[in-house]
Amino acid sequence: MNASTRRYKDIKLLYSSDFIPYEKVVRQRIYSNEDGAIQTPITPLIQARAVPGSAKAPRAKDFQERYTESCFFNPDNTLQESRFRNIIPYAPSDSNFLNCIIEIKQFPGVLSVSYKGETHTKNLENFL
Amino acid sequence: MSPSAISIYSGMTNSGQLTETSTFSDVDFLIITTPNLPSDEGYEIAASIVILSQVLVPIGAENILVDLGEKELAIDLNFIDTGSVIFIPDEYTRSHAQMKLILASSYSVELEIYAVQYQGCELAVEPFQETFQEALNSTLTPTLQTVLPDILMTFTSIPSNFLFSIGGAEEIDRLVFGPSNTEITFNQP
Repeated sequence: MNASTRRYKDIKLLYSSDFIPYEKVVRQRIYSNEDGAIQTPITPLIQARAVPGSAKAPRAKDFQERYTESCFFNPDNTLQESRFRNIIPYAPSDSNFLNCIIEIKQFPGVLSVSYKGETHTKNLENFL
Repeated sequence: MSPSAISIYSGMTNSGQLTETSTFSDVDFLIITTPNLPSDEGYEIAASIVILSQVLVPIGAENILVDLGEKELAIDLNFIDTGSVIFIPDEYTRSHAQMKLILASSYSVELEIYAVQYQGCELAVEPFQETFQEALNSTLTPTLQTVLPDILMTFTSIPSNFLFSIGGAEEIDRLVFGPSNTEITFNQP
């Protein structure tokens, strides 16, 4: 996949914040090949959190969702790798949290996975 | 009243070569559709908008048409998202300069690109033409009634039945015309 053209599809996920019971519908962008083959590892546990409907979830948010970055081998890129971000919709206290990340790691082609937790740099008032 | 759109590109983009749209001007924003994709999918494509800066520069006593070259618009346009509108900042629209969109797609994709613009007030006046004509005829003196349409015809291409007056003034003292046929303002001291 070359960087100057990317085919994508946006889906909506029901995201559970670390600050239970706050939930939000967030946008997850899924990238595909030229012929439509999906490259972003979307696994069954993530699909289970998909919200139906054609409207696009707004991008605006007051926090950064937790996400994994999966590394794929890509000989077309300078660094020989492609990285894709997945929002993890389950809070760490949910048993599906660990299983979801394991599913991503086991997705065909994924070489390594890094994780960044939910980040709030603005006032937490709304979440408490 | 719906905005009007003109097509500035339709077809497959080049791969291995840049793709340029037709030039456009007086445009508020661009819309891109992807005919061969499902409705919930789109493309992110590297793109930029350039302005063809042919301007009138006062040199000596005259205004000379000078080509200052193609310049990129200084807006934060990195990848265009076909799911989003590409807006043209007002300063560029107001300049009436010619612009075009340049795309660098690494593989061929089918796109239709439209430039959306607001139609000038010429259309907005139409429903009120009769009312305005009556108001005009009742406020202008007979001399002005015959002379004024000819004066306006000389300055613009707008036919006399598009004239209108403001308020209940006895006379129209001063007329100011904008740079295009979409602007006519009446000043009264």
